[in-house]
Amino acid sequence: MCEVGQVYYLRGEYGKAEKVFRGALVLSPGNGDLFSAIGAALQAQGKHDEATAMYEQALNSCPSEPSAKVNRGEIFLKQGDLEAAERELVAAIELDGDQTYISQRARVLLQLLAQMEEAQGGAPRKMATVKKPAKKKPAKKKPAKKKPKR
Amino acid sequence: MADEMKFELLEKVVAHGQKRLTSMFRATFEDLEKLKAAGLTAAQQEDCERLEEAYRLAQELIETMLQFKSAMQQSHSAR
Repeated sequence: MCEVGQVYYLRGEYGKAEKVFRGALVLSPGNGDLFSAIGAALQAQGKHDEATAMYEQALNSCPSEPSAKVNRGEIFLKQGDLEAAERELVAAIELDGDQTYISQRARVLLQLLAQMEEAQGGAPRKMATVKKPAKKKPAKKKPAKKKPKR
Repeated sequence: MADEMKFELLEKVVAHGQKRLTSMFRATFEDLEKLKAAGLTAAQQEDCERLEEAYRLAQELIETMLQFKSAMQQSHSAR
């Protein structure tokens, strides 16, 4: 069912995609990915408030879901709430660990945000820095115990 | 899997796949109708309607894809 929704979304038929994702949610209640998918379909239809509510639910059921964060950041950006947008986009990159297209999208939106700030004529605000995900240190090998020689 | 078996299965999919899908959708819609008639709460009724709509759209998409496939086949054989 999710794939059917994705096909409709890719075809630009967002209303149909939304309906299919909502049906899938009946089959899999509380699924964070589906809340996020419904949010994206709503956002594409310009229903920003409903989309934001869906992203909220997505993040409630899965707080480390970066796509809900980046999409919510985009909505804040469109609404002109630059601070909230920056917070969401930075969090998305951190959650994604700078691994996928989600971080790339968040970075593009952050650039846009900086341009918007510049265009507004305000003094350039210091952008929040993205914390790099902590690298795991390789486990130290324990030195093999030497058997005492007799 | 042996090649012979693979081709047999493929033939089955080509010959019966569409019929199977049609009957699967019909059975699902019949079940949902029975459910709706069984005195559901308002929320359950809404869930049923959402499912019905989602399955209807899935069916529509599959039919579109099948039409596309047959149009492709026709244009291929017309060459």
